[in-house]
Amino acid sequence: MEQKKTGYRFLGKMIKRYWLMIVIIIAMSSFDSFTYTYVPLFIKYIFSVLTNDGSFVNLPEWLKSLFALGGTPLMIVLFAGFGLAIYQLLRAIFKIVMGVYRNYVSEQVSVDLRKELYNHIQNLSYAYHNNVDRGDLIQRCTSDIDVVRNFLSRQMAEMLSVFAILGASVYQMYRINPMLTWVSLIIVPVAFTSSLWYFLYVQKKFAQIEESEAKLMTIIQENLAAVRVVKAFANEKHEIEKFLEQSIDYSERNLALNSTASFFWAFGDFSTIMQYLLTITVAIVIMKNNPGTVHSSDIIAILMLVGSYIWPVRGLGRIIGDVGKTSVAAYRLQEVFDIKDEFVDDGKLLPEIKGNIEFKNVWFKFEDAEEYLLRDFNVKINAGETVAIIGKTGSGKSTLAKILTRLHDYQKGSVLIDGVELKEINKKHVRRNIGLILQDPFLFSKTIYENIAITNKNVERGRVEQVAQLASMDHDIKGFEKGYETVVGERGATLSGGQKQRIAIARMLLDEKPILIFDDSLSALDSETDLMIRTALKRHKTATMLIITHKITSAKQADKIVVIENGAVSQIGTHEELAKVDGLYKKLWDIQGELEAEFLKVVQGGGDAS
Amino acid sequence: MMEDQELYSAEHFDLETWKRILKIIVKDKKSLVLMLLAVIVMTCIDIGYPLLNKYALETFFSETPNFDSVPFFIILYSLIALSMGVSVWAFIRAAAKVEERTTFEIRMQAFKNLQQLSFSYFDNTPTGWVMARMTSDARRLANIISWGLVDFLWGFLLMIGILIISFFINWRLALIMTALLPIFIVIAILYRKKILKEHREVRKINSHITASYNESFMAANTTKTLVLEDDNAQEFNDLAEKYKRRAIRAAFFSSLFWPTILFLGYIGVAIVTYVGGKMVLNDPLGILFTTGTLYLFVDYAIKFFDPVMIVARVLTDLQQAQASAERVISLIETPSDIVDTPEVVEKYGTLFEHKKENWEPIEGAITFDNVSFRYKNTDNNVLTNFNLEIKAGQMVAFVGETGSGKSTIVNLISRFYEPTEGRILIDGKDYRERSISWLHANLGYVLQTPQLFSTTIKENIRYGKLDATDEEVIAAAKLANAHNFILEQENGYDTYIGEGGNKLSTGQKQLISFARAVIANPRILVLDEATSSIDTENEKTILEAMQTVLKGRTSLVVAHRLSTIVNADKIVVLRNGVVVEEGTHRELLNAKGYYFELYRNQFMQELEQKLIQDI
Repeated sequence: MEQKKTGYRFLGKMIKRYWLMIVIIIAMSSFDSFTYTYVPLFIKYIFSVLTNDGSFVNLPEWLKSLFALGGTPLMIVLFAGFGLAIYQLLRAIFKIVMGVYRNYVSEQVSVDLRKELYNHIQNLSYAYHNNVDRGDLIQRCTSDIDVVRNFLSRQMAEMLSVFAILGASVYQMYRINPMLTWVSLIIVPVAFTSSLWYFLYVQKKFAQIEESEAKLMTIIQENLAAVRVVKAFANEKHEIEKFLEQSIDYSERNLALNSTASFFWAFGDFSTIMQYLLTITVAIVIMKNNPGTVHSSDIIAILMLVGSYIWPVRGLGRIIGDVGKTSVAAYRLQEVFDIKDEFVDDGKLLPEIKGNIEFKNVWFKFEDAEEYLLRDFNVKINAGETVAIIGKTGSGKSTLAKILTRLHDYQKGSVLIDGVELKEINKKHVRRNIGLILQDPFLFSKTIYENIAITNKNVERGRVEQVAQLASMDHDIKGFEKGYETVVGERGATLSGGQKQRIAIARMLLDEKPILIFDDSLSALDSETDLMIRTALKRHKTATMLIITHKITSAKQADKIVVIENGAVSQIGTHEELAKVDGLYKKLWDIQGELEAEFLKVVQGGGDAS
Repeated sequence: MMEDQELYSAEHFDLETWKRILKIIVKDKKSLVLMLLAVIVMTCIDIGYPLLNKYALETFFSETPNFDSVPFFIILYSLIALSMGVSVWAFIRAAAKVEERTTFEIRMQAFKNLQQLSFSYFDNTPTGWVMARMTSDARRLANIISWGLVDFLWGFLLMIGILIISFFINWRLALIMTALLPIFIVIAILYRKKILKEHREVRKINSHITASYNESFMAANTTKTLVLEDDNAQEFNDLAEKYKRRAIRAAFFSSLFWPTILFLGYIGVAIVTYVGGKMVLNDPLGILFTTGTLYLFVDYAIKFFDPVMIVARVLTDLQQAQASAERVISLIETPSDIVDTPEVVEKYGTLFEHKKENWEPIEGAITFDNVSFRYKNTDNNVLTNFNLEIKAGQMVAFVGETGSGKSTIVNLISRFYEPTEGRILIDGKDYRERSISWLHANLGYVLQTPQLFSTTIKENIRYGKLDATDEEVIAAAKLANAHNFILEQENGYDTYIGEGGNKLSTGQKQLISFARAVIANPRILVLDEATSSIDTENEKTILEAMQTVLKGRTSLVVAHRLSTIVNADKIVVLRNGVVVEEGTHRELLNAKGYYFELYRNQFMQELEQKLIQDI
């Protein structure tokens, strides 16, 4: 229920926003329906001229006198016939204009929603993106938008223009014969109720059929993914039986639905013809009692008018049946829009950043967690220093990087960047100045060159190659067939994890940033390349560098090593200092030496390696 | 997928394709015939009831009405309404049946063929391609064979019927309508082609937009760290606006279509009224041509362009469906390049019907006799004149870098591929002299990434031996060290594990796949990098499981983690498809060669990582 309300709230908002466009479309399609009801009158006019029955035709007088200029009945018929064709031409032009306008509105709604959604989602928090179901999100951005825009640009107008065509037809029929008009309306409630009932039923069944087909698709997908398993266990027959069973289920559900469909459509056609018969029969009765009051031209026009509203009335059932679907789609869109944009709570300051960092009694926990990950965390880093942060998985060392780039916000304490409280600084400003290289970086499906130059498209080529060299990637890139023009992710151009990391490093080096953070972003590299990059950076950069790692070899050369345990700093110092004092760092370092010895022991001793 | 569809797009109607596809998929001839009959009846009624209206106009509403036949008229009209209902009912049922049956047959036959296709096919065919054949192509074909055929027949018969009746009543008017016919059809087809082309363009941009969304979501965190929000938004805006322009352009052409046809149709109506009117006026006594007749003509003329449009639509749909038909045929008729000879099938049975009574028991000795192999569509051999002897019950490990040929060797042993040259002997006999199923029924297989099915744990284990009892399942799970964690699950063995088993950790999935291999009790067991995706926590459990599982079988282990293979009877070290070293772990270490270096590096790395976790 709540869901429906939210859905309608969104639809209401949309209607309010596009109200003028919607009103125009409704007006146009109502007008179009209304003009159609004159078509049977032209025909009636022709017949009344031919039979000379003298009956009244509800066409404008000027038009009738125009036709009368023909003089002879034949010429009048000719004039009226071509008058009808011209009338239809005008209607055709109007229909084209209406069609184009309706599509324009539809596309406008769609492009607006797409852009808004794109921007909104891109501004949602880091935490949101880490947990989101991307497939579902894409569905919302594509098919849910389609459902909503269809409703706004088409279905609403169709729904309301049904009343227009009904009203106009009744009016025209009434001008011909009131009695016949009432009789001819009997079909309306019948067609409407049956179609509403049917389309609601279909919707329910459809959900089940889709579910059944999804199961079938899962079987195919799993079969293809596990083709080795299927073959290795010689279970081909079993797979076919499984598939057969689900296929039959799907087929039977579909056939059951179609069986109902056949009754619905059969009843529809049957009742339509019966309506014609009823109208004719009543006309006969009237004719019998009051000879000469019903003309053949009347019957012809009324039958055509009846035919014009039966279909829209039946369609009304379908549209109303679809409203449920629309409200679900609208709900799904509103749900995304209701999630808070991370830039809503943003700092305003844009201070110059030199690279001094200070954590003062910082406490941090994840939103859904109960325990704090960082407890009273304190550390001071001076501009230009290279600092290694080492600790176990889950010790909170990566969180430091996310806090510094304001991807996560701390709950208590304060973080100062050159003495300015981090939360007061504009998020984008922070990120422009503090470069964070993620462990699993994403490369865009563009060329390697464009990927490196992504923050500054107009940068000189030399600069791009320079940063690639700094990241030890230039050589690799030149080894590719297309060099810097290699498109990432294209067939055959898959990059290894280490290559991706290095491109990500190069990309971050493009702009001079006062602070660089490597969040395990050297993890996929061998120790040699790792060292090469770190030395190169040290030589060329004056930036403050934070190297977050679990590899002691990566930490060793740092100016300062920070060891994190249980959410707080347990040790700080240089390698030389820490290697001497008891603690986690010494333990780790000692192990390194022991490893070599142990290996030799294993080789010489026994086969036990574990 | 889009590009693939373009690739097959056939320009001309090819009868041969349709003959083949009809032979493949039309199994339910009865429904097809019923469907066509019902459509014929329906069309007759569509043509017929205006005749009744004509009769009514002439008899009851003329200047000298005659009401004698009213009861007869009402009865006849009701009967027409009733038979209309019945024929609509019958044709929808029959067409739905044909449609369902067609989808069913396409999927079933494609699926069946997929089961017997060899690995080389799956190497070159993306899953998405296969899925598209089973979904959109299957649907499109089923649709054209059922509803498309119905529409075409209805439209065609109505057209012909109207013309024939018109000729009988008045040939001159009929001629006018006939003259309009080709004009309509040509316009309709040209329009539809243009519209289809426009829409294809629109769809192409649309798929870019979807891709752009996808990329944006995947890159969300990178975007934040690089502050690319505005650039991305700009790029997306450009794309969305481009889409809008293209879509409105396409909509313009679509909007043109119906109004144009409507107008042309009414020109026809105008001509008919004029010519017909003239006849009415020339025949004041209403002997040959009455107003009723004229009404009939006007009614027919208004109705006439509907079937013409439908026929034109089906004709253009047919062209698209032909591309679908070609793709479906290619999926259903692709032959497997690994098949049993007729003699072997005769004795051992097919993939689907095993003749187990003739199967020899298998010992598990494997010999590579001068085997050369290269993957399809490649130029270089992965293996050249490769020889290897594996005794029954031995554990042999294959070590080497990616691309060294170690996985190829186990794939060849599993007969997922066959040697390009040379022979592989099992128990001294070329394995091609026995059936694929014979080998596979005696083969156990554990992969690097465990592939499970979206059913219960129990059913997943049972997959190794379909007729296993619950007790056997539990026994296998115990052997594979999986029993304990299974009992911890919500519903124990009956826990539903989600699509691809995504409710379990990789380690847990791997334990289940071990249990699945154990329950099959195979003579030959292949572990293809089975331990490399396991975290350290589960490693011990898995290594223990491995020891039990391997006992007493010929086992072939492709290992990335060398610590798992120290107990192997033989370690084969490969480099570029050539055996560079061979021996036990100890022998190889003493040799201080390539294996020694590999092992040293890995040992150090593994230990370091483990230590930092343990501290």
